[in-house]
Amino acid sequence: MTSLKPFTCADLFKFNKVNFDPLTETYGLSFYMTYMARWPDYFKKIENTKGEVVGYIMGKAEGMGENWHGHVTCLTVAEQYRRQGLAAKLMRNLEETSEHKRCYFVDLFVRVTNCKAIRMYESLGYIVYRTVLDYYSGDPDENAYDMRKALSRDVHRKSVIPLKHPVRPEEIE
Amino acid sequence: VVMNGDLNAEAARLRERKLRFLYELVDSENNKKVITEVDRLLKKQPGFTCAKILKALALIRMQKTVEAKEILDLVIKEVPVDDGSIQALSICYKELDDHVTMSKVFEAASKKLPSEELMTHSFMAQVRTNEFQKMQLTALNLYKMYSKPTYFGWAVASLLIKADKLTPADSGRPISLTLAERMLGKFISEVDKTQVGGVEESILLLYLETLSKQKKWEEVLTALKDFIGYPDPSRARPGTMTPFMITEEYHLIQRIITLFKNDEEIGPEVKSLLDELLTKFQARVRADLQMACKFGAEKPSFYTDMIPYVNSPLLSSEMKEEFMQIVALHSKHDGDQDQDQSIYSSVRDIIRDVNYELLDRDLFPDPGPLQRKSRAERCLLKYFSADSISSSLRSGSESDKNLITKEADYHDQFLVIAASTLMAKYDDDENDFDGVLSSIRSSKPEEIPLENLNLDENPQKSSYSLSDQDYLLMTAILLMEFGLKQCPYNHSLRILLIKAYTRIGAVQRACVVSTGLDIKHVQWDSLGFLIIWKVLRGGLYAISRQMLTVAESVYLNYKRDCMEHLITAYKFGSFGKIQEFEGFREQLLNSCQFGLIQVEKQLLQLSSTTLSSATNHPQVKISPALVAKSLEVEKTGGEDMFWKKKEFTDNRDFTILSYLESNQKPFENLKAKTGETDVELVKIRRALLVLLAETVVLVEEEKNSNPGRLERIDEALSIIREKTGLKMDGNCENVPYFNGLWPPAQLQYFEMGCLSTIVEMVGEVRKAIGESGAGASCLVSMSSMITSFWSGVKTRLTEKMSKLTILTMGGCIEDIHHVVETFSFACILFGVAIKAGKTREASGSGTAVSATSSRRKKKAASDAASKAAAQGPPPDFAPLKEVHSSLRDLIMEFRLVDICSIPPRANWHWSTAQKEWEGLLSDKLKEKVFAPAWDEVQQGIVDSYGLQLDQFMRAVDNNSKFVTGMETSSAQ
Repeated sequence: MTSLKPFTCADLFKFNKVNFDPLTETYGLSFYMTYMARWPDYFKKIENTKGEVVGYIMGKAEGMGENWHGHVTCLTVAEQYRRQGLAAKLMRNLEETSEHKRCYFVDLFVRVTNCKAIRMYESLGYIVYRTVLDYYSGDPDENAYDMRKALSRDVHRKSVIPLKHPVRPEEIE
Repeated sequence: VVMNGDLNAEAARLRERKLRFLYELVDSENNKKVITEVDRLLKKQPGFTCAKILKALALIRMQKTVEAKEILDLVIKEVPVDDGSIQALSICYKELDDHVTMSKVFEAASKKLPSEELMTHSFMAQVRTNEFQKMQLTALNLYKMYSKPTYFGWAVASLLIKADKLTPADSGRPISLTLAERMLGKFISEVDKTQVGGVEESILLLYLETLSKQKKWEEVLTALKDFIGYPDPSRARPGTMTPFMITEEYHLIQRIITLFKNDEEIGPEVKSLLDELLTKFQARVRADLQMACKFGAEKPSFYTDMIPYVNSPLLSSEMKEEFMQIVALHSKHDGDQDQDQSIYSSVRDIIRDVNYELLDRDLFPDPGPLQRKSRAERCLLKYFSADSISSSLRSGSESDKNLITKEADYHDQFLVIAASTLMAKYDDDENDFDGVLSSIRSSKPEEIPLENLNLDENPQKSSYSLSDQDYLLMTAILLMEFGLKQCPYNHSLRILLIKAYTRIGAVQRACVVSTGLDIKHVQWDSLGFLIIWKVLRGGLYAISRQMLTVAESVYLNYKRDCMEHLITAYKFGSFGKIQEFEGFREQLLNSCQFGLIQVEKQLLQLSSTTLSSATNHPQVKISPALVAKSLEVEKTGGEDMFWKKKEFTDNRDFTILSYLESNQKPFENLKAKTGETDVELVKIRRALLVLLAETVVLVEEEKNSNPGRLERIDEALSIIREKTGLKMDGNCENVPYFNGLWPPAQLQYFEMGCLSTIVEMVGEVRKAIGESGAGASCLVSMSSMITSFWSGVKTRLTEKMSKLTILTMGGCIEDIHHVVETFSFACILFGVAIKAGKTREASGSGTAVSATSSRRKKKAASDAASKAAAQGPPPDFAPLKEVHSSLRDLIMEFRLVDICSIPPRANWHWSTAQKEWEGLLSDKLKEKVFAPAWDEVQQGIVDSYGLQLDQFMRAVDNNSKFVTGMETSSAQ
């Protein structure tokens, strides 16, 4: 009973139910506006029958040469709508967009402690490409996994050969 | 030639070095040094344009804008084109907020030296100033010169925006759309479709948009078929579970049937058709609902998904009952189980039962408080029964380990239902909106809902008293505090708890709970209403100032950046977003919450800044510059006047309340009513602000250099009178207004006479400005007004205090806030009236001062005598001091009341609570929920009241100091 639609500015007034989730950050207006202005195809929402936002994905395309890739900045689904495959639906849409833009792979960062999310990404075909030390600031800082999935343009799947050593945030391209 | 070239390169390097030094000074904000250095440089190189601009920038940053503009005016006549000068000019005009001149600068520069960079800058500058015609021309020139499709897109998007700004009746609109369509058609036909990429998607989308705007649907389909072959995959696609209910057909049929259903004049044939349609409609919905129940009732989203359909007025009550029976098949809703044994075997059972309870609450609301209590008890039992399953899930003993922690805590929803059911009676008795009004209007505790209690149904409960009602609210608070400790991320519980605390006036406590919601950025607009107004009216002035400043900055920052977002959309070819951004700008900047936030912040600032700065001054003096600066009076008198606005947007997000409120009509009515009140409040409070601020500045100005002030005062007066139905005798006709949705209450501000008192006092000050010798009589009248106001309010508050309960305390606290604010404004007006009197005296003796020096002493002596005669007795501050002291005493009395031990609270004790729940919950469970929270909650409420009342007393003391200062100053 849901549908996938482009995220619009007006949704910023009604995404609160989703953003009450403790792991979902509410960013400044400029952040959302920049994503909508630069990568509108990468910003999608799931709406329920009442027209409420019950989940959304925000991403972008970036990088040069063989590093040209889609990136998931934020993926979240409201508590009541979990375990219905909505996150997978949003991820598939972002992957399709990245294919369309001829990206080599899609990547994302996830807290190493967020086991449920890591399992879900793995079920969608993502692998842990590398560990980024102290990527999430807090008390204490927390490491992130940089997870990746190769797209059809990366014929030799070079983008998903895991790195053996962890990297620092400043080393990320 | 080579030597000349070397010399030129050397000169350029030298200039570069000097500029770098100047940039460093600018960056380190060493503005004075920038000016000295530039002056030194210009002596040697008078034509050093960039240096001149940097000097202007330093002057702007030193607030010397007039001098800066003089320099800039001369510089732009030279039409500089070098990077350094253009960049420095951009910064200058940005800081001056003058985008129009910058646009002209870019236009002139790109004409003098046409380059892609300057022309794109020129286009962006035109976007900032909404010069659509010029945007189109610049974009077309760019396209001609550089052949990039993006520039072509810019030109067409400019045309479309221009068309959007015109009304449908304007002949320019179809012309612009036709032109856009032709341009795009030609462009697309010329693109070689066999090449990789073909037509750029953004251009194609523009074409589709242009056709759609003209309603040329066939052409849209053709274009889609030709160029894409399939519709946009991101568009909504219906799910498969309940196909009929999410189709357009469903909504259409529902609309048609609803339209004709109540029309008594329809003929038998139409009626028969209608009945047939209704039967078919119901059959299809029934099939869908059955299917949904079979496969979806164990999903947490089931309730939210179903409620719009089962709430349809076209569904008969039999159908609703039938639906509930299907849901109930797997629910444990009879509540007749052994308390120590779980009635659930899995989390899915729990979810299904939560859905059942939520739907049951909405479809079959309880008629009376006793049934509500019974429902709450049932849900509480279910909560504890489910808790054992959840505990085992958390410890990992359940087989389904894929469930995340939050799902293990889904049974918390039973607590939400229990608490919201207990609280429902406090704002929507009998689900009757008029009932809400009558109970809210009555501030007398014993009158609140007695008539709605259905006492007959349970005669032995006829001793139902006010304390019983308090007891239910208190129970709800305890349940929620307990629930939040178990699951701090349950936002439904948190929001409901904020409501409970604000309902009883324990705003400080509500404020602490609200921090867990982490409201920030754009959420201030959509969620701010949950707490922001209660913090202000609850007396937490310091927190309120902070909150209002943070909230206002969201709008101001957006206002500053919004055109840049638009430019980014142009730059990246996101043409579909351009109109959306335009619409969003309107929606956010016309927000009623924005209007309220601005005006309340300024009013708060007016009282605190004016009074505190003046009390620190040995000679009490209200600084007009300070008032004008802090309030930006000039701006409020200009185009930004909110009261002139006709359209306001209401961006409050009510979706967050969907689990807390049943989707009933009274709630919808309250939403609309509070929205209307907010709009009226913005206008009235803005008018009040202008009234006060303009009066202060008018009287304090050395020379009356702005004749428009009196006009603005008159305009503000008429607005207030028109909006409130305020007559000259001070009675308001157009009440009631509503005091915010969450929780609803009647706004007492007008009824108490706060506004009428201030308005009439301003009227007196105006007389004093206009008439010689009116100063003394003005002060006498004002004293009498404030004394009379206080007399009425004191009686009201004293009466309320005699029957004080936690339910009535909320109203008392808001009343005190209104009085404290009114007294602050009254003090300012007293200061202004005294000043007005003195100004007239000074101007009267001004002619004498101009006489020759030999006659000055004699003249001064006779002036002093005549002045004393005209002035009459010195101002009498006793009434003003008296009302302040009386208010302080009353607040102190409130402070000293032990809210937990006064007679009506007699049964508000743990032992009574235990008795009340006897036989319903085991002692073990009662101890688990209530005992740990009892003392903490009770103390928290008492501390909150104490802290808020202390803040009020501090504000009153501040006012008193100001009055004493005025008295001392006046005696000198």
